[in-house]
Amino acid sequence: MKQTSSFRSSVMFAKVALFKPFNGFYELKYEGRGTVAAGILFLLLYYISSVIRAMYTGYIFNPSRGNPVNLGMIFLQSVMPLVLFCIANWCLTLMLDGEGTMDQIFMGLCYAVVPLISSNILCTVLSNLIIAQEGMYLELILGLALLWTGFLIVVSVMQINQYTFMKAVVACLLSIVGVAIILLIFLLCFNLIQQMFAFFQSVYKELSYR
Amino acid sequence: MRSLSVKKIIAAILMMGLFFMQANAAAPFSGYEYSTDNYNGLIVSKRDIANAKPAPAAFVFDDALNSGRLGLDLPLNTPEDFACDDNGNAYILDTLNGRIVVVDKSLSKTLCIIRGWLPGDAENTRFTGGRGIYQVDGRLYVSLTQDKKIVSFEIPLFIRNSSEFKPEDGVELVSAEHGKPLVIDVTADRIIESPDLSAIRDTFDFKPTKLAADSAGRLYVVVEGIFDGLMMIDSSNAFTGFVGANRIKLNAIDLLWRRLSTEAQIEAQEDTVPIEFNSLDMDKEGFLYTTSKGNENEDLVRRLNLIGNNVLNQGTWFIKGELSPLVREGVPGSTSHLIDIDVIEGGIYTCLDNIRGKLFTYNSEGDLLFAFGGISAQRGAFRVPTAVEWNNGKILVLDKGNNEMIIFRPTEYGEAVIAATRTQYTGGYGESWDQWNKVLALNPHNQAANRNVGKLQYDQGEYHKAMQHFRLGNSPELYSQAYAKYRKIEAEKIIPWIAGGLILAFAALVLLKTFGFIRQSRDRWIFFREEARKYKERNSRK
Repeated sequence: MKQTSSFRSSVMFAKVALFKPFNGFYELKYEGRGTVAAGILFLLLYYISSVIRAMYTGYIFNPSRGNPVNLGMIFLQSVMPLVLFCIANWCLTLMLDGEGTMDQIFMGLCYAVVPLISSNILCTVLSNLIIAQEGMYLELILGLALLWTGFLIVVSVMQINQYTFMKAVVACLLSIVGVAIILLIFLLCFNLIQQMFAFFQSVYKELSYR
Repeated sequence: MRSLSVKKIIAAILMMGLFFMQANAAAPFSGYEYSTDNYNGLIVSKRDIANAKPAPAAFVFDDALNSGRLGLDLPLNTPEDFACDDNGNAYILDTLNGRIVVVDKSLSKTLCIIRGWLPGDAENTRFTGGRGIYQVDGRLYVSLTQDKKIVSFEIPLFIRNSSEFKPEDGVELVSAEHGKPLVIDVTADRIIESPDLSAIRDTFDFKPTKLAADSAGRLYVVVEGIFDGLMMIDSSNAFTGFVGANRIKLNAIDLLWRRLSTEAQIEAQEDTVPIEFNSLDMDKEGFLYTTSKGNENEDLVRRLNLIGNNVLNQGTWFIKGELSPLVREGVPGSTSHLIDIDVIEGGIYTCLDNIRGKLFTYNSEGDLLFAFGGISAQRGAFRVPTAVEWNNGKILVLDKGNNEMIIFRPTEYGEAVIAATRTQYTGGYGESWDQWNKVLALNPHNQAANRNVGKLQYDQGEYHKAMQHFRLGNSPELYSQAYAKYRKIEAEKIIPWIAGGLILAFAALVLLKTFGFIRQSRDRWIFFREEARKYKERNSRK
């Protein structure tokens, strides 16, 4: 029977999710071994590690080190895509008879970004120790972490919705399209609201001049 | 990761402050350069990191030569160009008056006035409508844009020697009134008329503007309305071809569109090609330095070799004049409009931006050495600057709006920068050590100085200091090289400790194991002895 585990054990569960993803995400769904709180913690850690990377990457690999770091921009670049992906994926899997709920999809994604947290920290430390010619190691680490995370996301979508592997891949790709559509609608609304605001402002101005 | 607009506005306000700031009464502008130390994201740079940083003024206003100072009855009228000879005399092409005003090398009085290029009173032998003048090996070349020809003559001996007028071949005295400048006519011994371009062009209007020549008499001419490059004319006045034409960059999408368009459409697209050269100069090695009208994606400054390839060294920043436009990016006028260039020994060249009235001086490695100047009504600022020349270490700028020539003299800082740059160019950086250090003492943000001092420290094995200078010099590549050496040395210092620690730990482990084994053996021996004793006791009781 499904029961929620403690926060502490759900954080430790990341080890299972990372190294045995097929079992891990199955247990996440059916045995309630993950918690949303742990997911938020990982997301927060991912954000903090991204900020650290932007601030403390060695001078050789980040000549703009010392510039003020734009926290909002880093949030938009690191956390926002995941949140949008989560929403898009939920919308999509609802239509593609997936069995996942919003919190399961969110947890799956959050457990999947754990490799990125460690690669961010590792690269930041390494970049202060290595020279330009050794830069490919950084790229290698980041690339591997990205591949790993991508694989984990696909597996989480697969297990949480009880899809086949291929269907999960397709669902992930379609979710990316979904993210693009969400962004488009968002920008459209933003623009329209801005124009509407400007319109009311000018109406107010006209009235106040009378 | 580009900056937010709020940042840009703040930056713009800061920059306004910077520009309106007065260093002292002698300089109606503040010097600046690009540095890694002040980040506000306004600059479109290669690495998008740095910004204009106030620097000590390298050149300050020295003198302004207007018609009154020059003792001219007929004031200068829209002079378009001027040239300087090796002795320091300046030849101002007084375009609308059709004459050449020769300024003495002391840069304070008129030596003489060259009225025309053929003795006589004929109007059509004046320099009226001339737009370009160039001096090489004691010979002047004047392009008469309006008359569609180029004339050339030897500079009269008495001007070259700065002596009293003596009659000589080809020079005719027109008037020599006391207290007024001498007026002479010269005889042009080389007149270049419109070359025959009928083979490649239906209609051709020879309107030469700026020009340069080498000592063999070959001419490189900017011709109005010609977009194929610079016109080359050999010493026998024959057209030999174009050089430095713009290469059309076609990418895959352009090619696809070309494939899909009809012939009529392709015909209509043709006018996207040209680049227009503004001005040019030639260095001692025969390379042509050109400025051209361009947009943000094109090279505004080129250094052309004999076959017309651009071999200009690009430095840390773009060589585009102003990098921190006060207006926002993309707004017309934000790019510098470079209209003249002058190159001197040591690979140093100065470009003139006539939108902002600024002079940008670069070294052969493409680093901005200093920038100064401005457009305003103050003394030492310009109205319509049109030409720039170096003259015995000073910089002269001709202002056709105010009809005057403005002279800038180097400050201690400017002299130090120029001296260090030249020494390094000619003799490697070994000898320039003291000079660069002097520059650094005067301006710790000078990137070229930081890099060069860093290189010297690198050679001396002071890698950590070199790293700091390379960082201030905005060069991650050099920093990386110095860091590699530094890391090796540091690692060699640390590795014995690590190795020693490991050995100690291993020894401790072995010792512990041994002690444990000994104790275990002893315990075991005691145990067996005890057992044996108990066994004996038991046996003896029986």
